[in-house]
Amino acid sequence: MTAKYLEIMFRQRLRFAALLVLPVVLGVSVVVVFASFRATATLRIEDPAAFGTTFVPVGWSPNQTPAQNLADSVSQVVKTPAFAHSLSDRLTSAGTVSSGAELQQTLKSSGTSLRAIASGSHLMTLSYACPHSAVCLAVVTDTIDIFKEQMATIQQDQAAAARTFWSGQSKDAQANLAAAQVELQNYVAAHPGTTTDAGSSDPQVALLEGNVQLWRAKVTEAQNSLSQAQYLGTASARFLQIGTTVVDSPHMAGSRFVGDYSSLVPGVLVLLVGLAAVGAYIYLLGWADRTAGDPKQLERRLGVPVVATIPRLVGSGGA
Amino acid sequence: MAHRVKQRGSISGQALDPGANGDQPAANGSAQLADDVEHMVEDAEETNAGEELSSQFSQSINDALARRPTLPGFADPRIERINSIGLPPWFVDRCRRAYLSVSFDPAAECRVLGVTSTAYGEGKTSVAIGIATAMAVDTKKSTLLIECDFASPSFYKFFDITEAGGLSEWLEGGSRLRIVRGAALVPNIYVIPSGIAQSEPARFFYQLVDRNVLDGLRGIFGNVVIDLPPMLNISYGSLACALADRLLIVARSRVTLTTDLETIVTRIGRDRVSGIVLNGTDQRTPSWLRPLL
Repeated sequence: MTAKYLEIMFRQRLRFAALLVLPVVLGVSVVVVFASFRATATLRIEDPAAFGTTFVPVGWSPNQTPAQNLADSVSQVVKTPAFAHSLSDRLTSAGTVSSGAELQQTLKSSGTSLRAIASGSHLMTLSYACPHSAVCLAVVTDTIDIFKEQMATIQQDQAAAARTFWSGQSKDAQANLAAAQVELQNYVAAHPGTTTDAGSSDPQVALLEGNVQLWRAKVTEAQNSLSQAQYLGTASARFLQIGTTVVDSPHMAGSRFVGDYSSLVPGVLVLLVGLAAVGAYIYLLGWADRTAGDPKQLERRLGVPVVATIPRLVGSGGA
Repeated sequence: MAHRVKQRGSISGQALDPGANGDQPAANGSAQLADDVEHMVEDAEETNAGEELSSQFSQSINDALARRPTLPGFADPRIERINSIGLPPWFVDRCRRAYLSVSFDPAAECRVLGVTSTAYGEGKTSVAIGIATAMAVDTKKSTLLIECDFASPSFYKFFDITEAGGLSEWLEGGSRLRIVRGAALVPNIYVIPSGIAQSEPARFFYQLVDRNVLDGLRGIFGNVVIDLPPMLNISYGSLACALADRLLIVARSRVTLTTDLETIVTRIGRDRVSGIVLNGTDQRTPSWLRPLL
């Protein structure tokens, strides 16, 4: 049975060669046309403890590694409209994208295909996959720059918000302190002989004195917090600027032609389906073959002996 | 007997003896031929056209078989000869196997073998020529190869002879029977081409059967090989098959449909078909691969 199919295949070898070429071409085309290119870069983040034992950048979780905190920050930044806007400006001004549709596709995919993964305690890998290698490379490069810029802005904004908050708190505390002090002075003026020292036996004086002390502490706390907020804001922005370094500059991963090999799977699938179709065609030809070929089979079927078999006479047209 | 025949036609006893021309004689020699031809002529006497036909037939055979004095080393320009039979020895040998597998009547003086196929292009004519060549070489008897494919003659291509003039023209009474002699290597082979292509071939078969032309040839030739038309799509297959004692069907490997073969075997009759010659059996599977299967 196998011999029959092989014979059919070799008899129509040119047709089968052509049929075999087809799935191979299709498979290669799928691999090349649908190739996905991936640009990667590795960033190193310094340990915040190196900047002070109690220093924790704004928004960072002390329970995560610096790389994890950085990855979280990047993941959040790339999902913001501001990031998309900045990336759009950069890609357009550099002429990296060829059309508006490609730009939109790039911006749309940047939220999902742009990935920041902690690859170590202090190392973070940033990668982006897209159909064009130049765009991939530009997106990763721009993302690093935009991230640094936006993180500085975010940190400064957060610091400003904290300053505003603690300034208000401080003012309120100072106003309350002043009011408590005035009330205490008025009481002392109204009650001559009353002293405001610690040894005063007047309970009202003690109460008013306690209020003054309380608000004084509040003022101090607010001022300390304000100072802390100012420090953290500037320190965090500076930390991210200084402490984040690009270890591996953005580069293309994988092959120049087939990218990150992710298109190999569909390409191989197309090839296998094509080969299966060719195999099915051979089987169909064999199944449908009702020609006389095997002498023994012919004798069995016709009940007439095959008295001679003659190879093809080269050059004979057959008559 | 020869004299009687000569009176009615143009056959002479000397001319009818193929052995006199250097070929081996048929089993019964001139006497048998004379009897057969006489019988043919007697049958043909019923009509004027038949008489003329018989006369031409006898004269044609006489001319073909006649010995003529020629200079040593020179061919007789009056005898039409085929240049060569361009079949390789191995092909003729395969055809030899085919005819040796056919069981003829041992008592028969002349073996008449028909070669047919289901359709054109299956190698029927090549095999017929190969079988005739092998029979002529092996038996040393005068061997006649008749082309009875009136609709699509091809002997003229094989033997590089003119198409016009042949069995069909002779049967219509238009000319003498054209018999072409074999080449130098196979001098005892005689070829009757069918002539120009005919649109109604059935009537020629009817005449061949009705006038017992083959019977007239049996006494002259030891072997007769008839190149019959393909049987699948003709209505006169029974007439055509009636010309031969035994039949071989040529089929082309991987081309001829088994169902077509079944059809013509049933139509001809399984007992009349001596065998199938499977042509073009080359295997395309590489030889190194075949033992692995």
